[in-house]
Amino acid sequence: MKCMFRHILPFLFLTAVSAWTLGAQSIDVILKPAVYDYDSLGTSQLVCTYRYCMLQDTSARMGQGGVVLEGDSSAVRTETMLLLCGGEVSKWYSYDKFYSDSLILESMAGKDVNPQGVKIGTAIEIYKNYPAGKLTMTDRISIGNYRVEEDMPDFGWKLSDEWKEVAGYRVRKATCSFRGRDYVAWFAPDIPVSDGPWKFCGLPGLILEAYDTRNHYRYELAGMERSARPVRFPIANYIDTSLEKYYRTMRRYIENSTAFMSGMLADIDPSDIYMVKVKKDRPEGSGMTYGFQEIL
Amino acid sequence: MNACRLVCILVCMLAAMQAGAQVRISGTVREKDGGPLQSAVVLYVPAGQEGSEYAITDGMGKFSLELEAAPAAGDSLRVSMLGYGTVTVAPEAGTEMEILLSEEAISIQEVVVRAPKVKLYGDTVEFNVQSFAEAQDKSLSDVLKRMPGVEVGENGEISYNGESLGNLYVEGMDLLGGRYSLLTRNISARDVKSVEIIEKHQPVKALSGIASGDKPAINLKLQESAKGKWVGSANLAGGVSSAPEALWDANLFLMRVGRKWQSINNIKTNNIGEELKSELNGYGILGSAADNRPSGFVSIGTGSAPLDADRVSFNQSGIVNSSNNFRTAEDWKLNASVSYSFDRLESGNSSSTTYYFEDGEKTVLEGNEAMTREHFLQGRFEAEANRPDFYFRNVLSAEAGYSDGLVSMTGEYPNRQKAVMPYISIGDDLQYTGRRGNRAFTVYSSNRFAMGSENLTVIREDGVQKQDVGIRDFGTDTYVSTDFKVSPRLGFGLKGGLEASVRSLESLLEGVDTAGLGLAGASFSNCLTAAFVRPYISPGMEYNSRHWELRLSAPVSYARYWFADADRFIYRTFGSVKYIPGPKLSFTVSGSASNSALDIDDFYTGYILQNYRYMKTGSVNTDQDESYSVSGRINYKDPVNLFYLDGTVRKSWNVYATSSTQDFLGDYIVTGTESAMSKGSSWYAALSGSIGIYGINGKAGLSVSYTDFSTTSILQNGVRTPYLSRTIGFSPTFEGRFAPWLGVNYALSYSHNILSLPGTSTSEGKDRFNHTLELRLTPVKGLDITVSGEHYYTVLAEDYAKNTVLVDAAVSYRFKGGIELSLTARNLLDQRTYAYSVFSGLSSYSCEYLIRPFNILAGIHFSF
Repeated sequence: MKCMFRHILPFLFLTAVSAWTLGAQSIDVILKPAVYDYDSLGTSQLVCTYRYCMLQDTSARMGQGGVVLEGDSSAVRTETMLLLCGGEVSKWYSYDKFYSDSLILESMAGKDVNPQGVKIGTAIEIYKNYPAGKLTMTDRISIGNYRVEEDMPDFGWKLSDEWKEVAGYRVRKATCSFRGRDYVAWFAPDIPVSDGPWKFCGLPGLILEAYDTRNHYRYELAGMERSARPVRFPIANYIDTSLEKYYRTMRRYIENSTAFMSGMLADIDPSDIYMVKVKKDRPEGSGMTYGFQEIL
Repeated sequence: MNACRLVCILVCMLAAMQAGAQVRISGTVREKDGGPLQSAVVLYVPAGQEGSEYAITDGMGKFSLELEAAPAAGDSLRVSMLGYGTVTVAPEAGTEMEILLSEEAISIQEVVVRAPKVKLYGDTVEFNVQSFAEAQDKSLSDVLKRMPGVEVGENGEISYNGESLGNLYVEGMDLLGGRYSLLTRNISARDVKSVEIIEKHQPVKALSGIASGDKPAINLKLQESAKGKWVGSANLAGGVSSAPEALWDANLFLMRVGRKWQSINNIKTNNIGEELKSELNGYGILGSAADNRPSGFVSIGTGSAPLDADRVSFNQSGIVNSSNNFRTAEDWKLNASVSYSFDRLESGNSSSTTYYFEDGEKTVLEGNEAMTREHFLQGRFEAEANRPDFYFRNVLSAEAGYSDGLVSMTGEYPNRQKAVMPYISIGDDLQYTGRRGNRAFTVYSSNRFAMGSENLTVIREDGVQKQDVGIRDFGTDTYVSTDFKVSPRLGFGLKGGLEASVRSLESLLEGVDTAGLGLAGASFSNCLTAAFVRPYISPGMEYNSRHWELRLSAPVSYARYWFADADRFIYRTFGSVKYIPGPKLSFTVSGSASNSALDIDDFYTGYILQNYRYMKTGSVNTDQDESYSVSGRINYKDPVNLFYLDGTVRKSWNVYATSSTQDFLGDYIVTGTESAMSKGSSWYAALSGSIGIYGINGKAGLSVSYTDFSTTSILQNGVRTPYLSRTIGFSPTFEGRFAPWLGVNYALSYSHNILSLPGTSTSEGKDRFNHTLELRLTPVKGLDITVSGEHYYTVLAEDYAKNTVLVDAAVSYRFKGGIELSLTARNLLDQRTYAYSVFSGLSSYSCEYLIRPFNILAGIHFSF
């Protein structure tokens, strides 16, 4: 089974969860969610919910809505993501992560909630136009907080004259090639917000649906609410790095997590650990590999 | 001339240059009376087109557009931004434009987050419960009924796409060992997030990848708010009927699904006709009958009409159950449960039974009033470990039941009958499956002991008959089996074991006028022990590829019978081929051939009285029947479009070595068997389908069936009486919500049944037709009004049919916080009887049955 991760990082292992393999065993260390202070970056006017579906096993096929057309149910991973937009700075982050962190914090505070089995989402957050004219991505690999700043990407969108309807809006098709993939985006000219899921932006309307032409990644609007929400940026001890170095770190972590972790382990304060799970036999297919085409 | 040419060329070149040059439109977007606006969308719209050139303003509000050609008249520049009114201006090339936007309320149409109704992952279908639920649904069962492909039987048994459910899990845990009605009929639909249906589920992890499961399983995912704490519901209702009689209905359901401890508790009692004991029935792979009463003889009791139990049952029922699941070490669980149920039923009817003979018929008119009571107590202890390397399960259960009854008959054979039937039973089921690589082996042993007695007294004008029966029964089925894969597609299984049973029977019948019946010299007592030992071996094979599935099994055994003193070879072969052209469609052809085992329950010689009318004579038949069948099945499912279709055709043949005898002796009908060859055959064809209708949360279904059954196996008064029975059935259903305030359910059922005795003039047909219309009105949020009408049309005799109309109404109001008040009125037209007519073997039975009169019930329900 060939598994792949390309542009968005693996979910489980790079978020609050860290995992590595010892012989036939695997150990997941679930760290306590950090509680941060925040910088306020302004107010958003729209809260958009996107369903994000990713094909983890390219021998399977995914259709609209993350439906598995061919292959096993585990081939598709779905996650609920939020885009706070319509203000100066927009923020893209995982609702699932926010939810599981909240549950863990509640349960640590002695409330009777059970975070067991709750989906743990990705730690990646993307801030567009922060700092002004730039795009900032933050992530957590093991216990390290990473921050990558890049110029607002130029997607070179090509508008075509195809239209369809998504969530009650008339949307128009646009295509682009970005970092090795061809993408299709459907944007709504009636929503004059030049933003979209993940790093996508720069179209004359909000992107309601986007996917790559091989259908390995899909973002579909699931909800939209007019609501003024503060856009907040966690004040953490970030390791500032470039996109390339960030990918190299992640590659080291994925391909040799034991060594990576033993290096890191010394730094983990045991009081930061929420839970350690030891699994005897690692299910087949979780030995994920990453293409790293960005740096190869 | 040359100069002229040169000028021409120059002019042309200049013109071409001019055409190729881009035109730049630039400017600044500002807020009216304010600063520059960032992120405004500036779109150049050529006249009559959508426009493909655009720019987004930068931090200084500046934009710049490069156009291929100078803008023509009618072209425009549309500038828009969230929170500001859109402005359309004429583009001006060559100057710095200044565009002012004024604030305006955001007029974006919101999009409501809706989880998809159905998700499909490979072999798993996930139904989002909330998108199928209607406000008045109380239990999960109500919602399951609305999901396409899912059927919930009246007894609570669930099936999916024509297959009965194998397991039901809650958050991946099997909490009830097959007794899932305790949960599905009680858990609030609001506490369940989604229902995952896993097809061909293999419940034993150690067998996964070696032997495929053949039944679907359901996994309930709970809402986060329902996990790790006590949730439940309570209902209390009281009322009165026009009988007059005070009515009650009370129940309490408490559930806790935590990490280490899961508990499901029910207390229910009512006298409104709702049957409760069936909630203790086990279904699916781990299921077992609620009671393991040894198979007996005495048969008296309340009759049942083919109407919903809550229409006909005059009951007082109660059930108490507590099931507790403890997860100890990882993958180990202990489950302890104790259940008690009580049922008191009354019924009354007047009936006409016509017996058909080769040379005519006889009709008997009777009246019947009956009361039965039953206490049932059961304790169950289960230990299970379900791990990839091994599986262990042991269930120890013990139960006791005490039932008694009183029946008084009027008419042709007036009498009073009294029966008392206590029993106890204890059993243990053990399974261990170990796995090494692609090979697994299983040790299984099921052992059960039951003892019971039956005492029947029949008091007639001319005497009293007393029947006492004592039965002790021990049975075991113990085997070892191994399953292994020789290739990813081909697997074999081999099972070898021993089935054995010992049964002792003591009986004595007193007070029968033997001489009058011509039974002088016959025995009316039994005191015997019968037994059998049956070692068996059962090889099996399965082949699975993307498009084909093949199953073969051929169990053979050799049985030794004591009391009958016989040795018999028993076989049963089964094979099936399934062709799966695509993920939605499959065709299956299967066939089987077998001969029957002998039944030691029939090994006795003395007469035993079953009730005032029927007497059974044992026989020590050692002949074996043969049966063969072939069937074809087509199955189509498209869960995303909510469409399901299942069709089956089956033909079977039986060659009986014994015939059933039925002799009319005085007041009695004496049944038994006799060694005499006979035959039977049947056809069965059925097609059922359902389709979900997205916009109206609806489901439409249709099932059609045909049965044709003929046999020559009945000897009536010594005369072979062949008969043929044919039934055609048709039942469409529909439900949907046409407006937020109006939901409609409609169900129709029609059947036509023919009984004929070939070679005689007897050929009778019966039609049954009924339909139900239910309207659910929600005039304001929280207020539900349900009105329903049922119409039954029954042909009772050739020229006599009866219509019955039953009307119900209910109103309920839900307050915030989960409290609901309800008022229910049933049988508003106060109908007192329901008439029906059925064929049963070689007789026709028409009956006018007492139904529950007009009654009204007020209740409070709340879930927490």
